[in-house]
Amino acid sequence: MPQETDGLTDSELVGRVVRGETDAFAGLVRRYGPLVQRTVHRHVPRDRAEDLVQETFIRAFQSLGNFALGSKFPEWLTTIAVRTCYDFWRSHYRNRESPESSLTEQHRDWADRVTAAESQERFDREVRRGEAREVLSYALDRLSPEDRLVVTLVHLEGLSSEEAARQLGWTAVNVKVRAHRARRRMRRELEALFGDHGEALWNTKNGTAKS
Amino acid sequence: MEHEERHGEKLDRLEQALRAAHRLEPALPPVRVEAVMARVRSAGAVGGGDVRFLWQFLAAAAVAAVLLLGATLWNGASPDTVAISQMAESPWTVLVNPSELN
Repeated sequence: MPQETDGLTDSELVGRVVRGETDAFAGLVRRYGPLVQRTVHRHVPRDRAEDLVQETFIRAFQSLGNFALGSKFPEWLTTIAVRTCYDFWRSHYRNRESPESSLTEQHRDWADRVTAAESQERFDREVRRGEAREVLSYALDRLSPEDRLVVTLVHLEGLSSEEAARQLGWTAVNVKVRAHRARRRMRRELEALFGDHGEALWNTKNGTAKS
Repeated sequence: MEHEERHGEKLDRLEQALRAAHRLEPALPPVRVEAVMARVRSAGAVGGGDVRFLWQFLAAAAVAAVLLLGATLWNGASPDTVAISQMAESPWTVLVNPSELN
């Protein structure tokens, strides 16, 4: 039976839940479900997202007693979502033998097309293709869970080191150092994939193919 | 040199494309509130998480300290007696000669 929670502030809802009105938590789930969903979808594969969205809310519920009334609930919840994704990757990496994703000639062709796109429209069209996400997932898959998360937060989402540090529970210096190293590692992975092939194509397009 | 620059530019462009791909907002199905709530209800009551754990830890430590003190007194030796007897056996008592202190 849905409760009337629309007019209540986050702190009022949290207060009700802490006092034992579990159903009031549904108001927070409705209000912040899309936020948690967007956050989780940016970090984990689609088929795991729903489960991790639910896991995030369960963790939030279980530690609601730690939430400081008056502070920002969405930020607190986002932190839990990011840490839930981090835990997912740590356990996933422990149980796998090697990275699962692989690429084909089709992905190399995509990389050539997107890097050579002359108009913004063409570039955007290529970005929306499935190959873009597959290449991204391939590159991230080759990083450690920590590097993966830090690259996602800092380089892909554009968070500052301080913001990322808050979400991860690390120091800003640690995030800065790791983000720099992780990005270099990811570029090396991309280079290994598309470097020689790209160079050959580049030279051919410009009529300077090496013999 | 020129080749390296071109190579770097290409990597930058590729990175830019991957960043843009990451930022695309996919159409997501609405969150199933009832499914979340079913799991929440089975998860039990709201916990205080770390704070609650800290209080439990402190309470357990206090109980352990009381029990230890009780056991010491029960054996007929007060904590002071134990400390003094340990001092008497300490090597420092040998090293310090009271007459030298004057």
